[in-house]
Amino acid sequence: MINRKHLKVSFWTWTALIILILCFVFIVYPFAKMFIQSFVMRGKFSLGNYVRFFSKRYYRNALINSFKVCFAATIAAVLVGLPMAYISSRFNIAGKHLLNIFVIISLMSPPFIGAYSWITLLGRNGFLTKFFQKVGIHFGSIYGFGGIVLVFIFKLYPFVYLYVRGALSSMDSSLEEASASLGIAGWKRLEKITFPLILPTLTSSALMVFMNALADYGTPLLIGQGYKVLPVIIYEEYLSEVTTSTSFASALSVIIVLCSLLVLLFQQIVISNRNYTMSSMRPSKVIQLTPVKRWLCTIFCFLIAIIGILPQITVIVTSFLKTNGPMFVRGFSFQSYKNVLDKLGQNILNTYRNALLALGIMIAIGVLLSYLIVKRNSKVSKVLDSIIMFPYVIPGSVVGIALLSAFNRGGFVLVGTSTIIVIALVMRRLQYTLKSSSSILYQIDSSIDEASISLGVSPLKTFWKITFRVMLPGVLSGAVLSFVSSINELSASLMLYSAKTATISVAIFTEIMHDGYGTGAALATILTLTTVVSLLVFDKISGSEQIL
Amino acid sequence: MNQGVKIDNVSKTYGDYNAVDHISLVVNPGEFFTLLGPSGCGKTTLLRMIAGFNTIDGGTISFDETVINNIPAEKRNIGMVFQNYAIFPHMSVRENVAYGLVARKIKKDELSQRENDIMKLVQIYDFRDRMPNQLSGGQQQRVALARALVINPGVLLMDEPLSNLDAKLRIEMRSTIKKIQNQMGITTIYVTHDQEEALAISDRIAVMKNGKIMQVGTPFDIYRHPQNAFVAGFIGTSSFIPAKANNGNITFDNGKVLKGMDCSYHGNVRIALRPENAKIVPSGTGLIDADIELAIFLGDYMHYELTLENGVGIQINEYFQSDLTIRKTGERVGISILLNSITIFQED
Repeated sequence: MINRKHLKVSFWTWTALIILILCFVFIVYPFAKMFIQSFVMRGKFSLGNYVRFFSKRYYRNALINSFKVCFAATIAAVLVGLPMAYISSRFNIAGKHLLNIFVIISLMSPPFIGAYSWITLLGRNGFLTKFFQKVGIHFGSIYGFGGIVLVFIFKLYPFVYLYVRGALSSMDSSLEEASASLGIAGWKRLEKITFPLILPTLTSSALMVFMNALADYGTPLLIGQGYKVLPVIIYEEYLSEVTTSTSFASALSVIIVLCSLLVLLFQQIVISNRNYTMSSMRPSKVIQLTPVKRWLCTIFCFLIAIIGILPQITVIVTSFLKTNGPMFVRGFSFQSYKNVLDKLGQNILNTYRNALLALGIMIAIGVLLSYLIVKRNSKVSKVLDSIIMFPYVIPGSVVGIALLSAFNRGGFVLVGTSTIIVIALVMRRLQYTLKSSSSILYQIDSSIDEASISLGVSPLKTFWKITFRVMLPGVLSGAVLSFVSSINELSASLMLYSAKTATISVAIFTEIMHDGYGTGAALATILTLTTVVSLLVFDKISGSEQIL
Repeated sequence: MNQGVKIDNVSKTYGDYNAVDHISLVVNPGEFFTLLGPSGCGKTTLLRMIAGFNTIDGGTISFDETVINNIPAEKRNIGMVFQNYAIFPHMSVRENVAYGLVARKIKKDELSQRENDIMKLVQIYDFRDRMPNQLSGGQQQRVALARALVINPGVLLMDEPLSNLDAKLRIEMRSTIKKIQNQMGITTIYVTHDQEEALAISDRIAVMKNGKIMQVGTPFDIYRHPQNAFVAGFIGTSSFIPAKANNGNITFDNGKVLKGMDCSYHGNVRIALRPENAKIVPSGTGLIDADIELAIFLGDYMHYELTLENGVGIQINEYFQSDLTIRKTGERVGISILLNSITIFQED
């Protein structure tokens, strides 16, 4: 009897141990190695890399530019997403479900596509530029600072919209009613009650916008032209360094990690002591507007949402245009898709195989680790939780460089294999599955486990027969996001791919860089289609709008 | 099948807090035994130690002659009913009920026989193919009961099973549980904080406070002969009137003396008075005068809250008879006490 008890304890101990080892090998070790490498020059310890960074105006400016772009994009995304979230959660606007689908699609768009499409629309020879020129309207250049911010706003405002909408609709309506009964209503109530209560959520969504803007290098590379930001520099340095070492790129990575952590710290200070627990007995009411107001609000929300998916629409249309080399000619054809299948079938295969493999690993780790964190409450699992958070909040290119510096030589070479890309995907996208698994576990009362045990089923069997089954819908809601964002992952893959292991997003990048706009668009359309199908399938399975 | 439970000097500590403090109890086979006490008294902790969900820090618990301290929960053959029902949400009523039988590898014919019998007994046979989210709270509670009983447990443990039901349903389920328990004769340990429920349902009750047993006895004993002021106050309602005792003479603050009382205490005492054991009489004619603070009409009786001359608050219920006068708030009255139904406690 005692032996059995011993055995069941050790299953979870083993699980914790294995995850801990994986964390050390694939997270702690690579980042430690990258950190050490940043202090190495010509085989010796040196601060040279950092001296070089801070002494040259070129690099310093990139850092300043990064912050400028990110702050501007974050503030603008909040200004766009916040009112939209308020309107859609509180008022009876038309087509909410469609609106949410649009928002999620613009969030999950393949990287680069935003920048590329905006150039197609508003660039020197853009469709819209030409159109407006005919009517006699001229705008300034879309290239540079303004263009980068524009792309970021419409790609990243969904974070604000989705987070805040969630918080607003779970806020107990009696709180606002209580305020009204005490004589504070309207704008005053928004300021005194509603806004302070959603502030923690709002700042974490702003943080997501900031981190994503800071990490993105495709957008500034394409639309920034001469306007250099830090991630672009990292990529350029990395390209020029591959033959020698990655030490300067490592130093740049360390700097960008420090910036990320600084911003994270700032956000934590802002929300410290402001995390409220609210018991939501009665979810907020949807207010019926007068027809005129209702349509104005609907138009406002859809205007933003449609601008947000405009890049996708552009890409889909472009993918069916006839091409002649890099040039688009009149008429429609499936030529781009034919090219894709002829040349890039392997990339498509790689993408789905990597993402499915990563998905399986993420579900396994997510389910087991969330159980360790929530139900067994051990100290080890708390440590694991914060280690795993790390690669999620830092730029993907940095994850790529860290993995490169750790596994490029010695006994454990992974560089150039698909395995290393799968590892990067798991590191970067596990968080969605882990979060959703934990949050459903917090809602499941331990008494259903105990009921099963009292009926004669061992704790371990109970986990599989009861706990896991009840968790499953919650796990899947995060897993679908993990999957969708895995197939769209670019920044780490771009550092880690080889000719054989390139994925769709890598191919889009190389195609666009080499003027293969048609094939790039066709690939992007395939990704968008997969994203939409995955989300719809999940919606059908779960039977509700559980996503995010 | 029915096991007796012996709890011998059992303790549970969290840090330096004694949740269960050296408790000894014997529950007889077939008995309906209730652990009653305010929240935080250790009753649920003790129940979960019997179930195997809390470890036993000191002492032993035995089912019949077998010490179960080191037997894991899934091997103890107990049935447990939880406060929040703990119905498996992804299984139908039938699958929930069959769960424990499947785990015991019961053959198909016997399984469906036992499953149907218990579902009919607990009156959920008509819902057998529904999912839990299609059931009301009372129906879910019945499923939980059927699921616990179908495995023929040696002991049935129930943790505040009725506290999530509304008042009417609670009384109905209380009767259902009691009838089924009588019929099956199963040893039952029941946890509640509701003294009325405990009185209604139990063969014997253990009243607990701060991890210790205050009194064990039949509902009648505990109500009529509380051994200490806590039990007198917790079971039913008692008002406490301060007085002084000397050789069987009880002297009240207003100087009135009751002579020849059965009381061996000396010095300050408190007299525990049930609301139904006092009468309201015209001012000056009773033992003590009092002001009516509140008069409440409750259908078959009047409930009064009064303040005595010395400021102590007491409660009196007067049941309607043909000659009952309804008093009004603010009236000054006297009270007289039924002397053979009071309990006297020495002041701590």
